[in-house]
Amino acid sequence: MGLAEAIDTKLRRHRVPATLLEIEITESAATKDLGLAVKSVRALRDLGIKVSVDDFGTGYSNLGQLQRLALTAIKIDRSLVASLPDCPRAAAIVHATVNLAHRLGLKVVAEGVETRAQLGALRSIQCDEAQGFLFCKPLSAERFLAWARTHRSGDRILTHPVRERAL
Amino acid sequence: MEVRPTAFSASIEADLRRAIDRNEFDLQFQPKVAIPSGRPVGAEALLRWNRPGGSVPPEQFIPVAEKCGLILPLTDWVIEAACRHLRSWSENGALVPPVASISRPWC
Repeated sequence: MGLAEAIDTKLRRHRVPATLLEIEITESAATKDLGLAVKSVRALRDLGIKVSVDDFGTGYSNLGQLQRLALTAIKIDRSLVASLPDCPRAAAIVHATVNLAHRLGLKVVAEGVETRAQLGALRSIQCDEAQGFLFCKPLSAERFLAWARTHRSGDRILTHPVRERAL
Repeated sequence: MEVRPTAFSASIEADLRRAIDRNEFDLQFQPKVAIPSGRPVGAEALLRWNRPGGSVPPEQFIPVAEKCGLILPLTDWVIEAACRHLRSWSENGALVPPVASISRPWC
């Protein structure tokens, strides 16, 4: 049974819409056998599952190759985010990546956001989403549910990030 | 990264096989937010191995699992667990965001 078929079986058994699931693949895994990755990603997308490329910026980061995959998003690696906003070269790479990804219809997620200055830089270049200790550390399933309810309106995260960090 | 068959990784491999049967894993969720609203849009599911005697970080056991083929049952476990949590969250009336599962399905 292929991966897409196996996931489909589980989604049906648990009565979970495919649109709620996103699968992340690493850049190196995607480019190792690009032909196979193209087929596998297509099969997942045909079911309605989102697919993103993780660790973007750690390998050769060839969007020219990755554009052959039916991706929905790319995730910019924490090592690049950590260099923001003070390193102009890293900032230029992240900015260009966001622009190019948007032109390809992809969403961009920044990983490992830890400071307000990093968030400010990401905001100024229209990065779509972020994750990291500035917002919250990893939580158990129960605590995540509570966190998501509390922050549904979102405002407090940006106005009181330090407080949320202590959760 | 090349994983050499050291005593360390051999020991992890033996323990990993038992851990799958003993259900020593769980998922943690790293929230994702929209910029600039800060609204929760989902979470990345992170696999944790609660090995007796201390938890093992993913960067230590995932490469071993990839090398010895255990990544397939582990991927299966992660997706099953993610589906179970998504179902549970929607039954609890949450505005269910998408969950991103860790996965190395093409190795």
